[in-house]
Parts: sequence; C-alpha cells; structure tokens
Amino acid sequence: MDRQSFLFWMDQDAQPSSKIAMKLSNTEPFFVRLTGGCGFMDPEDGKKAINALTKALSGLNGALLYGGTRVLAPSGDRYRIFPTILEVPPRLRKANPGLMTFGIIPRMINCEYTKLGLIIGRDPKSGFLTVIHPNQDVCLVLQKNVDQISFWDAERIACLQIVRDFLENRNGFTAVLVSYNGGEVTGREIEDWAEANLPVILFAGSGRKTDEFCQNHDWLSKHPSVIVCHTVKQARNTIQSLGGTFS
Amino acid sequence: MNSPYLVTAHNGRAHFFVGNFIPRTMAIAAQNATLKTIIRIAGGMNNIAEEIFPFFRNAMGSIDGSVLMSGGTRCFADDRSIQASVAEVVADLGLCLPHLITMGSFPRTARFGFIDDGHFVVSDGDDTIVNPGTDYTVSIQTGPEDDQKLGWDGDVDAYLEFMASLRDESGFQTGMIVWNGGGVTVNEVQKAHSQGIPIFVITETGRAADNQLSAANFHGDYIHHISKTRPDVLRALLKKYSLSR
Repeated sequence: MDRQSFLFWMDQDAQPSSKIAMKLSNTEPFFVRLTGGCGFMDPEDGKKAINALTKALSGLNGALLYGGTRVLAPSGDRYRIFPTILEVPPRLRKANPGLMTFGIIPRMINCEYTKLGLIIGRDPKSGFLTVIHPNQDVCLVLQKNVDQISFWDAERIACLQIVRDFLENRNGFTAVLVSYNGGEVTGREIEDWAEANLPVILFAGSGRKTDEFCQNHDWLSKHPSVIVCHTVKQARNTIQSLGGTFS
Repeated sequence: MNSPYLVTAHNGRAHFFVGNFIPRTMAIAAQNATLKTIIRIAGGMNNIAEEIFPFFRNAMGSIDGSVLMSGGTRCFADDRSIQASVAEVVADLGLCLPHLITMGSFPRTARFGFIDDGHFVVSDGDDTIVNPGTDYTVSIQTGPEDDQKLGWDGDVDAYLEFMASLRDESGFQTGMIVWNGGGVTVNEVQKAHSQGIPIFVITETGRAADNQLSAANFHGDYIHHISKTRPDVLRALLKKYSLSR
C-alpha cells in the first residue's frame, strides 16, 4: 500500500458514514461487492478462488467492497495466511491505483492487539485467527460498542444500503455483486440483490451456495439480473457490459 | 402566488434528515457537483431586506454545478409571507440554476411538530419550516429528548466538518459568504476561517457584517469585504478562488 489505511468505527459521535462516502467517491462510479467463501473453504479451493477472482477483476476501476479481514491458520508454532477470497482485493489494489478497497467488518468477538495484527476472532476448535486485513484503503467496523455485539448479516445489509444510497444519489453509478462459493449468509445476500433487480455475477463451479443458485434454473428465470459465469472472460465481459472499465 | 409550502427543490422533492451528523446521502449527492465547490451562505435567517436576492443572482450566476449551503429553513412573517433570508437565497438560486445542489443544516432548538392542516414546523411557534426549496436539509440533534435540544450554533461543527471533508477527501474548493447575521454567525465565520475556508463578508448589510465582522475588526488572509452594491466584485473573487466558472 502506498497510502494510509483508514479504520472507521460506527460511533455515534463521529461522521464516518459521510467520510467513507466521500472517499469512495474518488473512484469511478462503479462498485463491485465481493462475497462468498472465507474460512470454510479447502485451502486448494481457496487458492483456486483467489486465482479466478484476481483474473476476473484485474485492472478494475472503481471500488471493491468486501469483508476486510484476513484468516490466519496455525502452522507449527507460527501462523500462515489461509487462502480465501479476502486476499483478492488487497492483491488487486496493489497492482491498480484506480481501485479502492473498502472492507466492511460486521462484528468483533475478541479484540487483541498482537504482532500478527488486530485479532478480532479466534476459532478455538481449528485455532484459526481472524485479523483486520492490514492492506485496504478504507475499513468500517459495524459493531457499535462492546455491549452491542453485531451479527454476521450486518455486513451484507450495510453493503446493500451503501450501494442503494449511491444508486439513488450519484449520477451514472452502477454496482454488481460477485459471488464465489459461500454459505447461508452469502445465500441471503444473493437473494437480496436479485430481489432488488441489481446485477449479480455467480461463479459457476465455485461450490456451496453460489453453485446452488447456478443450478436452480427456475429461480434464475425469475431473476433476470443474475448472470451465471462459467469462465473468467465471461465475468469480465459481463462487468464491462454493465459499464465497468479495466485499466 | 404559489403556496409558501410548495416544494421547489430539484426533482420535486426536498429531502430531510435528522441526526447528529451530516448523513452519507448528502455526501454522495455532493459528488454530483460538477464544479467541485461548496459555498455556505451564513447570516440573517429572517427579516432581511429583499435586496439580498438581486445581489446574489448577479454575483453567483456562474456557480451552477456547485453545492450551495445555508440554514435550510423558511421563516414566515405574521401575514404568512416568506421572509427574505440567506436560506431563501439558496432556494432562489436553486430555481435559477438547474445543476446547483442546494443543501441546508440547522440545529434542533425546539420540538418539531405539525400545525394547521399538517404543516411540519421546526420551531416552538408556527413560523419556521424546513425550506421546501432546498434539495437536502439536515437537522442536527443529539437525541429526541427535550433536554437534548441544541443552541443556535448546534449544527456549526457538523457542517464545517462536512465542508472540510469534501475539501480534504474529494478536492472541493470551499467558501463562506456572510450577509448580516448575529452572534452565532460571528462564531461560525471565525471557526470556518480557522479551518482555512475563505470568507467573503458583504458589508452594509447590518448587524455582525458591519460590526464584529467588519474590516476593522475581522481581517487577515483570505478574508474579503465587499460592498452590497458591488456584486461584480464578489463574482470576480469567487472566480479567483475557483468557486465559480
């Protein structure tokens, strides 16, 4: 990163909401919301996801909204980066100054400031850690305070509201949801966007919830804004047909 | 004559928000300003002479594509006629300039309420409403309780931060014009100036503009005093500061 990474909290006494909107407005008026599998993918599938999504979104101009965290897996007495789609936005951003990455973190379970970064979650079973990804332009934590624990769906709700606000108030604005793999929360997000007739790109063959929708032809026929993409090229073409540009 | 309650904001809708800061929607809407400028007109909110309108029409005809901000309310005289004010100037220019984005902010200083056949008032009496000629208005409040009412300067920090953020985050040019005004105006102008916002005081308009904010009492870098008979001077200064075309 060649710029400072901003961390915002949804605090009642500040103005993070409008400041984030101003920062996001410094890009092309095109947002991609990236959703799907994070901690529950097989490492090989995770690498495959990173490869496909990096190729699909390489050179994108605009803002990329995503989970804003990094998953670390125990490896002996150390930790290694676990491959998830959360690694895609920082990788794209590093190579492309025309992209702004915006992480939205719904909740923090335990917050520990360590040499691994700011740990916001520990899975006692697997030993996996979740840290705030250090390489992002803007990061928003939705949890208001220590007493009001937020819920996982808060991220998809906040993203859709931000997108709706931009659609309503910024001229020439477009947004698309790109879904790869994912579980129940991802499924609800796909449903939300499809019901709102907003563009959705589903990566066929990515597994779990995204694939379920890809194979549900009856549901697809009722939601014309949803496009099933079988190849990276098809995804790029779809983004361009929606008004997105690549540098 | 049109009803004073008739909405004349662009697209036939005046958006109104309540909260403790300027909402995201207004930040996004501001991005549509092709001129990338935000100007606040501060000063008298009622009982201003009608000469204010031709002055600003003359001086600000070239700011189309800007964000123009003021108090965002409308005040009535006893005969229900609209009182001239800096907020009415914003509404008036919004009618003249199709790409001007008009905004307002004011503090909640009283309970909101409905009167007559449902007119929404924002003062204890029946003489102040949300200006229906302003595209986006926000009332700043810390909470709904009676003891959470704010003073008349309760929105100043919020709107100054909004202006400064547009400058720092989105590259907007900023400016503040003063016509008349009282103690709150003096306070907000001094705060704005300390944040690097150029100030243009229109003289011979009375009260603060000719007293605490006169050239003798308020001077320094990027502070200008302009006679109310010289809209051409303000027009040239706005251009010099890249606040107009």
